[in-house]
Amino acid sequence: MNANNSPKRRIYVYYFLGILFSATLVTIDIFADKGLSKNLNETVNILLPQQTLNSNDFKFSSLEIFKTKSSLINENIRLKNEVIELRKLLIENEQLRDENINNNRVVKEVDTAIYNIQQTSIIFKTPSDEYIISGGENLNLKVKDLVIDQTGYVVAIVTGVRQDRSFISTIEDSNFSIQGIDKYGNEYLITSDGDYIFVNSLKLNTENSDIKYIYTDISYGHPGQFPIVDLSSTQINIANNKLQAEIPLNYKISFFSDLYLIQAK
Amino acid sequence: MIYLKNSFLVFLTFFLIFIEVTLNTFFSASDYVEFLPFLFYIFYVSIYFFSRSSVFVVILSGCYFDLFFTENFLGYTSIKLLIICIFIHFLYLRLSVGIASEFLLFYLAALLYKFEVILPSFDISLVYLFVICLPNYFLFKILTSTLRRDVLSAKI
Repeated sequence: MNANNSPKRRIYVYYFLGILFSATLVTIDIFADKGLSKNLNETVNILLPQQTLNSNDFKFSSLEIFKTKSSLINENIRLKNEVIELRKLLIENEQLRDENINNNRVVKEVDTAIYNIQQTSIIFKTPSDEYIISGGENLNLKVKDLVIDQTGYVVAIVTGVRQDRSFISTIEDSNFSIQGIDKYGNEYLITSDGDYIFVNSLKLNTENSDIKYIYTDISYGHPGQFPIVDLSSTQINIANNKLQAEIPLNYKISFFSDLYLIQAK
Repeated sequence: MIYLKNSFLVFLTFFLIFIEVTLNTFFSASDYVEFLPFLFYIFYVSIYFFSRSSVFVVILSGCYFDLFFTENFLGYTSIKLLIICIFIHFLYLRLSVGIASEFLLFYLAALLYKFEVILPSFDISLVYLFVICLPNYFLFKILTSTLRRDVLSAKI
């Protein structure tokens, strides 16, 4: 565009040297099996501000400035603040009630004697559409632990665990892939393209279209049996000892989603 | 002074990354709303501030990204960002002046920046990214025209 702004060629050399330096870091990290990035992550953790979900620590009534005003104004302010706090409590109460209803639904679906259920939330969505949830090594999370929604269906799998957060692969991720079985012991591979969930059989013992649920299983490294998809209202194609089905994806994961982590006890 | 300036820039890029990721997490319910302040910085470096000192800042910001926000190996994002800078700067010097060509470069930078998301469903993602780029480029233009030093000396 502007020839006068053209940098000297040596600036390109610095950029290529930067690429070489970064490539060296990648190589070291590959050979260290991500040991370098894990250690640095724990060492410089201070550079990432911690996410807090509750923001009700601030209290208007505790502000010192009001103490110097006349008592009438103080009383007025106190009452006003009380109304604000009561409103906040009302909202909090409604949120807790909703949360309680969701928790009860999950508890009905999952046997709490066998599994640990931890409520979690999305803390970051990266530019490459990866989701990071709260909870990691501090909750003894492992790769392949499951994330379910309030209805008890699997919506994500833990793919990477850090000190206090974990990476998950969600059902709307185009790289999502999970193995499952049905009540007849048939094995399936479930994948997603972001719009549809694809069910393909891997091993079909019984050719039966009355499958209903496909579950996760301990044999695939997951904590237990949790429903991934419900095929009861889906058209199933069985041909040449292969089963195929496509289910439209209606679930959308977001910052506001209620998510639960499942771990075996 | 140079070290101080570079250190400030490094922390500024960390802050930009954090803001970008936090805001986009909040907007995650919608596919067509995304704010890319860190891409603004990368694009700004590519076309206005392509210098030796930027290499250091870009490498460190890429490392910050890899350490906290991706599962990639350390250094992967730095390579990606440096390649974007080189590629965009190279094209910028060879393209004709104009807002359309600059927007196309911004779009190209966004494509490279988010290529992991684009590749699996190429056709849909191109449209979605185009929609995201329009307001972001508009914001970038507002910011750069405000931040550039010669804004007061420019003839109206």
